[in-house]
Amino acid sequence: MADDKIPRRQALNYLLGAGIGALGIATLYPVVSYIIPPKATGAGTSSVSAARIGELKPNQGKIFKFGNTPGILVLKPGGDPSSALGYAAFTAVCTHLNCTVQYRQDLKEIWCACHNGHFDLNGKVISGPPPTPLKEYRVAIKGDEIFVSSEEA
Amino acid sequence: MAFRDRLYNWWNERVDLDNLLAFLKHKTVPHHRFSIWYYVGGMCLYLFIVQVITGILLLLYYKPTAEAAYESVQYIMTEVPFGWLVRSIHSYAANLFIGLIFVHMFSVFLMKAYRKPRELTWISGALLLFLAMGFGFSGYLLPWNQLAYLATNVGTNFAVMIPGIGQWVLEFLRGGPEVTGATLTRFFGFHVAVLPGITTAVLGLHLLFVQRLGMSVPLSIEKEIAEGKAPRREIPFVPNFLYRDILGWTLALGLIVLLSSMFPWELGEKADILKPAPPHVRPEWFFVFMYQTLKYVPKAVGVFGFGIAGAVWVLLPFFDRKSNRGEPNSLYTIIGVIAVLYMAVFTLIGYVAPGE
Amino acid sequence: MRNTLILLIIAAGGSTVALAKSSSCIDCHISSEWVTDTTIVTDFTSGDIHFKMGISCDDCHGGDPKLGLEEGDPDLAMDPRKGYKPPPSRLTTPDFCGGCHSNIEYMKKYNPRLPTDQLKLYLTSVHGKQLYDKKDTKVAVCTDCHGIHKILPSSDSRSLVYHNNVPETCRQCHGSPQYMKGYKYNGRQIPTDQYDEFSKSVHGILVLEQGDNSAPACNNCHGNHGATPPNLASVSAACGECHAYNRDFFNASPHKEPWQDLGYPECEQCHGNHFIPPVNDEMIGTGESAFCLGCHEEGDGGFAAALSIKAGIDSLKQALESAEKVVKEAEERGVEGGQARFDLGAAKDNLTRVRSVIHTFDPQQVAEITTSGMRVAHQVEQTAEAALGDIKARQIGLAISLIVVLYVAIVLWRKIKQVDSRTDFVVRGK
Repeated sequence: MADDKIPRRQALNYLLGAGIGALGIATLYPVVSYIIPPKATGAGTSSVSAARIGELKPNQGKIFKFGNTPGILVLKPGGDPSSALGYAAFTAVCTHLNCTVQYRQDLKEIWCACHNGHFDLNGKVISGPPPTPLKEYRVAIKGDEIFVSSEEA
Repeated sequence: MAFRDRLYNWWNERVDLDNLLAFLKHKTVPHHRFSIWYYVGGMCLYLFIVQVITGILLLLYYKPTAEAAYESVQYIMTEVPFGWLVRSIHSYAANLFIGLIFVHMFSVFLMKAYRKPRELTWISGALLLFLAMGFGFSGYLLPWNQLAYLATNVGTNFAVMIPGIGQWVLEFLRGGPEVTGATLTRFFGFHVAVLPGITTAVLGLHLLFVQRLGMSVPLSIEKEIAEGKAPRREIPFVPNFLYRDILGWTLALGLIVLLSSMFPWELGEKADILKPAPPHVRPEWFFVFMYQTLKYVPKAVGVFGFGIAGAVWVLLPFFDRKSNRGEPNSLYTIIGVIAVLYMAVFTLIGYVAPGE
Repeated sequence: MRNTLILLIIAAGGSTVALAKSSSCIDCHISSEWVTDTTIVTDFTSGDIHFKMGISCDDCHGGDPKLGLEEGDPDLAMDPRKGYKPPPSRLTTPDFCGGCHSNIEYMKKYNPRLPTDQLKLYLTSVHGKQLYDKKDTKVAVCTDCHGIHKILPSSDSRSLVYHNNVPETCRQCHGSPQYMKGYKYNGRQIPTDQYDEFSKSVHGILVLEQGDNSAPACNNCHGNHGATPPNLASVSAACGECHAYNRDFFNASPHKEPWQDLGYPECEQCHGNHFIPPVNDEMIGTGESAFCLGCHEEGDGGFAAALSIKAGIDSLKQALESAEKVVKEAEERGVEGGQARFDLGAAKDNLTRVRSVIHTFDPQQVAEITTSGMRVAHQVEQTAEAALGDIKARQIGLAISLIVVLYVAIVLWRKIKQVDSRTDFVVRGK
């Protein structure tokens, strides 16, 4: 009788062990996935890698993602691509009705196609309906990456 | 010698495992029709551990400043693999934890388990209640969403009612006269360092007392045994009681995971200090009964009253002489039932009643 | 006592008065001992632009400012032989002011950038023609708008001709039915409700309530010195000063020439002139409040175009709305971090742009914009749906873990039963 019970006891122990093991894996898998840092550009919208050196030619602009909104990075005409001073970065959200602006190489200005708003490379409104200048971002170069941040200089 | 035995001996020679194992082997837990309530305390401990683990995981990505807190929680919810799960578990387990603490406290109260010699267990337990509510209050602000900001504003406002030092307490809590980013950082410090430190110490004491004194048996059961109407029953802690504990913990985990997956915890909108407050601002549910009460009585009276009530509640074992002598005390049972009903009813009113 | 007071008054205005040459005109006219109305001087010395520039009474009125006070004889100062002329009448005011302000060499000394064509323009205006041809002195002359002795530059916010004050200034005459009685334009009595209408319009609210001087006041559309109503060919030019794209689109549209032939006032036809209400998408199309039905009816090309344009806009709006819903749900469920919202912004730009492009009244150009916007919106919606689909994966994961949990619970239950069965709970001997 005791002999009958012992294998049964062991069977139950194995089943229990297997169950707890499975539970352990089911717990460990999400935890490990969580701990491994994701590839995305980090929480908080305060700083973003907008481009690499060499990606832009002088007198060229690029739209990049800054948090949830678009930003625009311009390598100024005659600007030094390896120095932060050669670039200008702003929010690409037009201050008139929130269309996305673009860089005009012919005008050397930032321009909004919706209602013909013009901004100079200081973000100031030159003409058109935008009521306020484009918010300027800080540019910093680290390695060969161009970082744009919304922190005050 | 088998490796397992060699390992055991190595530790035994240094920390006297034999003693510990003997204690565990012989530890028993009373078994009667009310012993189901014994599991609630262990469940609270389990949930506390769940909070510590998920809290540490959240700490890996959370940023405790007004500029980044909300975004970091959003990041956890949307970009970090299983971040939504970790955060939702943390939120659900927190509420379950506090809910079960109340259940634990009232079941202990109604069974008069606070009577001699377990007064210190009760007092340390009362302290743990306040610490848990502190955890809840400080943690609630951390996502820095509009709801939490308003609730914290309302909640901390009551501090001024404390006679004499009220304004000082308010500014100490808020890190200034108003709720700002400074409050957030301060609450973060409370939530992850100060409160855990104090709780570890108090919890340690609480568990020590429980281990030293064992489980209390309700007086009615003791009477039945004394009168020979029923035998004294006890079950071994290892493995019978422990397996039951683990069963409960497993089911609790399942419930929390179910809730977290079906209804991930909301993020809401980012706190906007300049936005005017909507009419229905409420603190978290476990404060609602107090908040609602304070709408019906003058604030100073209410705050003072709660202070007194809290102090009395903590010192209860010293007032209930009859239980200390081993006599039934239906007055205290009635007080306990009234307290439960009062909290439940006022919490309900707080949610159902139209706004101010 | 009174003399001390006078001296103090003069001293108080000391800094500005000190700039000017000492002048018997000022010294007499500031004292109520000599004149009843001292406000002329207090006005003049407290901010008038001429005074600030060092131009004083005698530069306009002639006479000799060095004489008259000590001698107690005003005629020594107001001496016709020294060039003194009495103040001009309304009829001669424009010529009076124009004497300096049209003189290019003279004006260059003070402000090279100030225009010198005001008199010339004034002569072409309705005001000018009425004054010179009909000798009608009720019309506005220089001093009515600019003031007499306290003339402030138009950039000074206290000036009658400061941009945001212009409507009120014009209203002094044009808002009074009694004053304007009898004046006709195109055979009809000129209305006097322009200010009231303007104050309710989008432009009026900006200028009068919000003090926004980038919105037009009367002179932006009508001109200031050469004020005339903008007529047919120039309505779109007037509005197009700011609304450039709409003007260009309209001028290239099929409405431009027919409307000119019909005598329709271009932009005003749909948008009004003084009362310009906020625009909305219902103004175009074949719905109840659409303007198109004023001329077009079912079966003609215009009706079909209106139908197609409105349909395009509505479809774009619908696509945006439906994408927005899915994106919002994905964000709330925590499966979407911001890329979708970022992309949706581009599609929203299309909606903003199309509301300008409709002024081409060309269904094809409108369709180009609406279809590309809809394409982006659909793409975004699909991406967000896919993200929501991840929730499916979550729920499968959940189901699996719950199965494991239940399995463990059941095995534990069996185990409990097992260990209980070999344990005797009853405590003996206690």
